[in-house]
Amino acid sequence: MAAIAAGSVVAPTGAFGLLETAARAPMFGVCASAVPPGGPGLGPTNVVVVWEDGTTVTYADSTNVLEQVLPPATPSLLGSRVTYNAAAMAAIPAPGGRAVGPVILHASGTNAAGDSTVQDFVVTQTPLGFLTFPLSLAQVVPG
Amino acid sequence: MAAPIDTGDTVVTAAAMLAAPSAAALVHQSQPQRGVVESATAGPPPTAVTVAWADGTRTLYPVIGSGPTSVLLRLGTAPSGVALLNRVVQPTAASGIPNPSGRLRGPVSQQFGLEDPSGNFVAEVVVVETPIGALVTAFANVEVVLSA
Repeated sequence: MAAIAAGSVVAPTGAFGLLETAARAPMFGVCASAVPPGGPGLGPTNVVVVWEDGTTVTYADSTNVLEQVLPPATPSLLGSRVTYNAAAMAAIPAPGGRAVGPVILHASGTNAAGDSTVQDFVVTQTPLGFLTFPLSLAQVVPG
Repeated sequence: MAAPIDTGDTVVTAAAMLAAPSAAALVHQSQPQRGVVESATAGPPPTAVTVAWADGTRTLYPVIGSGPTSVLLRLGTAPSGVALLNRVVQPTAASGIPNPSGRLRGPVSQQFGLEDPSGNFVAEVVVVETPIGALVTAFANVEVVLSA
């Protein structure tokens, strides 16, 4: 997998608080330009991103702050109601179905350097906010 | 070839046009914002593009790229000649876009042709207001729901 470059779809790492709800869904951007990384494990530098809302930001070092967003590797769960797998996540409570919601995003992701494991994740719209978790922990809820 | 992006053109960000089922299968949480080009240095591709956005902000884009790596796209005429605005539509079975419990169904709020910064046609796009957000997708991916 290549590092972020012009045309890459990106999202801010800070928007993905796994298993904790966020007030807003992750915003997407497209890379306008970037200086290739200086070595393995490093993201590109001077990364210019144009976000959905038209704002543009230059990131001096993208290594820890940007993620790459890719098409999902598995059939999309867009619109399906899901929650996290209770058996796999027994330590995380979900009283009253508050962790259940429709999927608004199903994608694959990797880091800015392009050298981490590419894995599918979903973002759901729950009564408490937007919840992100790996697809491996997702469980479809009928309805 | 059509004319490149220039002063007075209406544009959107490429990020707001990420369309299911392509870069990622998603619905956006708001409708794409439109802007008008205030000034630009002729290209191709154009550079130093200043856009006045619908929310009143103004942004200078030194580089907007070209073709599939562009960060700004121009709105143009929808070539199908079929006006779907305000019609209730849903993804077709062939589109690859799932529609469980009809959650990807809704009225069309926007329909336009999309052009890259050089003026080349990219796609005819519709924005569908669904119960879970704004679905941006190709015109060919939706069908009118006759019962609604």
